[in-house]
Amino acid sequence: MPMRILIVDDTTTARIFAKKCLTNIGLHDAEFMQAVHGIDALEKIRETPPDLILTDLMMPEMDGETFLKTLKEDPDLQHIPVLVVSSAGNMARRDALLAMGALDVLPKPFSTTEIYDVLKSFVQAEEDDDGWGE
Amino acid sequence: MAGESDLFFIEQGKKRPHEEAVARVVGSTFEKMGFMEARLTDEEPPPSNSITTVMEILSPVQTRMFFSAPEHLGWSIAENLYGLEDLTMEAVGDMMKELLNTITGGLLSELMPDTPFTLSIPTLCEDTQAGVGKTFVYHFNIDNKGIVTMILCGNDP
Repeated sequence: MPMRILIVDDTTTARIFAKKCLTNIGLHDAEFMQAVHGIDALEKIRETPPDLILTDLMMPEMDGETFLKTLKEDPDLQHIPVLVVSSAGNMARRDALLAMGALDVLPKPFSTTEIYDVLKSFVQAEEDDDGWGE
Repeated sequence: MAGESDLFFIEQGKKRPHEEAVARVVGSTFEKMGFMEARLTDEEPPPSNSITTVMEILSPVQTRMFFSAPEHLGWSIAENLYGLEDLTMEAVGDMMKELLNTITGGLLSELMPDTPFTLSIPTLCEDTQAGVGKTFVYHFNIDNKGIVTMILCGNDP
């Protein structure tokens, strides 16, 4: 069963770039879902829960911080790991986001090496013969 | 590190304050996102139709940043970044907004690593209407394909 990854960002460029990086680090068999803000993401997650979420912070309608908080307060969804990927995620914000339950906070721009370092356990699980989520 | 109210004025008297930090952040953004080299230059871009984006820094300082590229260069950067050739003008504009967003956030993180900041969502605009305050202009040569312009607006009238 392929890993399902949701990318939440209001710009197409950022979503394409994130998908390209994830594919480059070995998650090429993953099924990618996309959302343009937090509300859109929550709707998609409730319909089809992903195994991993990448989210931006600055988005219209519902920003990434509110989205993360809402997700982590929902007993049915709080187990889903959320990587925050944002240009607004400096060290001052990082601690608060980690305390809210973010897997990690990666500042933009990030390289494939940097995102691999954060997600290597997911890549290894995907490469495992047993597959993801079985 | 800059103080809260003097982000772009801590190096007063310089033609381009925080020149090294701006060059580092712009260079890193182009390298990581588009695999392109961005080199700070004194050259100015020749007049041409441009794509310009703007965003506000809302806190802890109130100021504004513009990012502009000649259309042909915008298309070229977008082709590199997306890895596609059948692009639309909307996609190129979207890319310009994302680049400005990334550069602005990166610059603030570098200048004020321990201070939370708030940014507006970037938008396309017709021109670099800088408004009140002093402005600082940085030109970058992108892979010898053209010159992009970054304008930081100060917040003193």
